[in-house]
Amino acid sequence: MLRIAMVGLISLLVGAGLATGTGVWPVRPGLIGLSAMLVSGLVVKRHWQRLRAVGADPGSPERALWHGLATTALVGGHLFASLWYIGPAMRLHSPLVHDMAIDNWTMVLGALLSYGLTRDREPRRDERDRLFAARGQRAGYIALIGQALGLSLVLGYGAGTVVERLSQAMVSHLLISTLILAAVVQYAAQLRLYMIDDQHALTVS
Amino acid sequence: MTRGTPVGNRLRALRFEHDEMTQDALARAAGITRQTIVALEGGHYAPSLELAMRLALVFNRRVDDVFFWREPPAACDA
Repeated sequence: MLRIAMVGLISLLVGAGLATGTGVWPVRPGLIGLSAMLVSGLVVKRHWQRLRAVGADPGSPERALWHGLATTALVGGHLFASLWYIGPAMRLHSPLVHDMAIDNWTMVLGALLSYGLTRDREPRRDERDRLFAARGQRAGYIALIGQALGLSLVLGYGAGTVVERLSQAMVSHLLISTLILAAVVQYAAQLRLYMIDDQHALTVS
Repeated sequence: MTRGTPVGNRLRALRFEHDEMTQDALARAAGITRQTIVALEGGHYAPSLELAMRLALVFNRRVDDVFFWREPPAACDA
């Protein structure tokens, strides 16, 4: 469980850290994020190849989940921190927002490219994977509903001075953020099930 | 989710009886992943009826030749 938390948290923090470099660092933070994803993708791929030699490598869905957790948390961390820096009155067509959007989408590209590196060339999944997926999706759904309720309450009953300052673009990005967080929760929950399965039993129910 | 599945199996023994079939070969024959074979042999996972029947078919055995109760549930004692 610690490994899942560490991967998620470190990716979130790296993403948030990259958001501080927009317009400050000589290299685009998005390119740094993309490079980090490619390098870590290669490292993980070699690690899984070594595990495969001893028959201890993760299956196709588990690989996709580790990749999804790390890259979604990184892209999410960058987005959350960017929204924080930009502030509630966010306007879509401003130089700062353009720069952060370019960085964010560059990292999305990095996530797609690194998936090509880490994915199983011979993907297989079965009922056990589908069972874990269903339970993970339930956790993600609960996270999404919880956030939607929280956001509804804030938008509906929050102090007018705060809510009125939120631009249309900011509200839409907050909604996107809830989707990203729900995905992170789902990936983490599914990975937790694979880890539990190494120690305990699961039955089809 | 439960601790300790009550359903045991003879997959490991049957693999060895069948020319020391590898876990990967059995997984491919049954159309599942090697990780699920590992979980089944480790007693970590109880399969669906369909999967149990597919595994039995690979060895040309009956399902209850491959799978058995470790401890029958109380309702089945009678």
